[in-house]
Amino acid sequence: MTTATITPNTPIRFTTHSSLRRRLVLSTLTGTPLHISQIRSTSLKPGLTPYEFSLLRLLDSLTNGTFIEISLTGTTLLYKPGLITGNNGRPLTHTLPENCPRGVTYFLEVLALLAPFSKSAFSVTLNGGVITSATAEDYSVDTFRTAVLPVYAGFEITRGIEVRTLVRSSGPLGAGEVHFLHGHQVRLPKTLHLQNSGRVKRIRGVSYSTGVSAGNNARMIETARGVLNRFVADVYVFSDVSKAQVVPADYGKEGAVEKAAGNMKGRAGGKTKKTGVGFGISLVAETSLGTVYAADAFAGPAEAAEDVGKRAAIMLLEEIKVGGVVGRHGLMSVLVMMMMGVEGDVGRVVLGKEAIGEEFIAGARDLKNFFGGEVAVREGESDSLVVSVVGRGVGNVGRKVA
Amino acid sequence: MPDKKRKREISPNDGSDANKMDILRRHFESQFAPLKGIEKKLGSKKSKALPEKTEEALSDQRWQGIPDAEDDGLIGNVPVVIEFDATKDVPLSISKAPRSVLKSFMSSKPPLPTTSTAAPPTKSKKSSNDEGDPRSEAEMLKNDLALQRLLRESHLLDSTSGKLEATGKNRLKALESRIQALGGKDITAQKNVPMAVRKGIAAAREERELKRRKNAKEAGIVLERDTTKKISKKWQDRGGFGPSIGKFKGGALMLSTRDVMDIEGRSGPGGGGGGGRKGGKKHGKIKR
Repeated sequence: MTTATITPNTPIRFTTHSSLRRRLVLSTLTGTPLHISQIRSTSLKPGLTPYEFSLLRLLDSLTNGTFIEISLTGTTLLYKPGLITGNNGRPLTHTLPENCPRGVTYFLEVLALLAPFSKSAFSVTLNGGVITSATAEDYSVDTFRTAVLPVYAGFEITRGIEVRTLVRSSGPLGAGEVHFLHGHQVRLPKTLHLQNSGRVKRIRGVSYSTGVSAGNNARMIETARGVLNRFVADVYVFSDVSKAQVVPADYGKEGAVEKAAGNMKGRAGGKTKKTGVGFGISLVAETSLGTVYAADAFAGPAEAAEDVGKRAAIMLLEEIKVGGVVGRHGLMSVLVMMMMGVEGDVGRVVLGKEAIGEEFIAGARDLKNFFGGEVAVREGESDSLVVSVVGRGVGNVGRKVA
Repeated sequence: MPDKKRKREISPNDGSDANKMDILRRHFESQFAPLKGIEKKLGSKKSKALPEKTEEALSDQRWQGIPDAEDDGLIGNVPVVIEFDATKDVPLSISKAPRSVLKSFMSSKPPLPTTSTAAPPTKSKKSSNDEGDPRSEAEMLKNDLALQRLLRESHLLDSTSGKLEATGKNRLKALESRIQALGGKDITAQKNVPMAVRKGIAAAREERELKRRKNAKEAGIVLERDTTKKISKKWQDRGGFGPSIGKFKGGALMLSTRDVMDIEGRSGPGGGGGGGRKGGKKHGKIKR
């Protein structure tokens, strides 16, 4: 609570939209103002995208006293974060733009990182253009629940965490609904020391299909098990079948919502269509020491269910080959949580060499900018890398005990 | 590659690694030039595994239609496509997961890493751990009670002495407050007071308490739990059951026109823009 939290009011400056979400999260956690310019300045559609605006709006409603200034063209953003209050423990409903191309985990990841440091519990319902399945850039909500949230258990953040998938929906135009609950707020996360990943002892998964035949699930499961059963006997993949969503015919079109002016029923002259049709699979491998590796596959246009199942299984095997005590999907969360930890305590995690990529380096640079601490990487034994992070003791500003 | 159409399976027990390499190499050589470096290395093994095959015979080999029955036994004759698929190895008995696994994995909570399919052994381990652990359940409960008591009586403690127990006059006060919390009468209260004054005193006390809580909340100070909260009579359970819609009267559920329209999702005759039943069916409908 000494150095990092009391920061000057001069904002940290960045350019371009790259890793905007991570920078916003880090800014909110540390309380450092953020200034980003040249956001897609050379693009045909300059400025922030609708889903980035939506993220800013979500951050605004979860915090108290946030100041956001966006230039007329949307290419420059000034963000001064407030205190994370979690809407004072009241339930919050946030509607995503209908044509949101990102999966709902884009938003859920942010919520999961902010919630432990909130003043009161989180209860956020996301609706509108919610895509619960995996997309090209984001993993599915099942992977989030079964593979990303268990990562936080290492920091002893376990109580009252729930992700309720109320309505499943697939891309590109989603219309699902997800309820995120987080009731475990901490002062400081525990220091993490993980050296061994253990051996994979079981594989679980969820295959989901919305608006298509349940046979797709069975086919995906059969092929995935065919690949994985050679290595581990304990493979269960569960099947989840749901209907497609019926939405107005002009759903997801630009300006359709403004034209309708809140009248959902009379939109598009009462014409409707089905949306959120598709299927995919999420696989999670768990080791004897609690490390989780995950893989996600979603059906492309006219892709056979067998191919999707096989793709997911092979991706999972690749993930296991990379190794490390944290799967790649949860790596950034772990680094941020370690930075937030007790001041001066050194946390260590062992990672596979392939886990260190462009994303990791960019993340470590951002962490240095915001926290002032560095991520040390050195050679470990048997072709692994030991990543050590010194906690900065930022912790939860809103949670002091007198 | 017309050969690809043929699909054969070889039983896994008949090939060592060298044998598999051999098959792969021969497949390669049948389509491209013979390999020289590896040939010498594997020469002895190859001759051991399939002595009757020479390289010339393999290199000019072509697709000759579906082989006869007598030819079937020879594997090395045609390139073999092996598909690594263990679907046939999957025992049918475990195709359905036990209910406990389904429940723990498919609930809305993240699955705990410690939960395993072998639940009973972990349970017994836990109970034995509890005995050895000094911070057992009972101990924690005791500490919890002590903390609540301390918070409740902290305003009586002397700031100069570092003790966590009240002494002298304050000790008696603390004792008195505990008796009152258990339902005893306040002996310090005056007996004969006009009703208006008595009400005033009670109101002032309540206001003081509210103010204290409000200030503490704003400052982020943790206070003791409020135990004096009264449950309003109106919402107490009166027995019987209340239907969520309509009125239960004379042994029958009475629905008004409005209720019926609510269920059907039609808007009323005069008022437009009704949105059907609140919290109704989630699937196939978008709520805004």
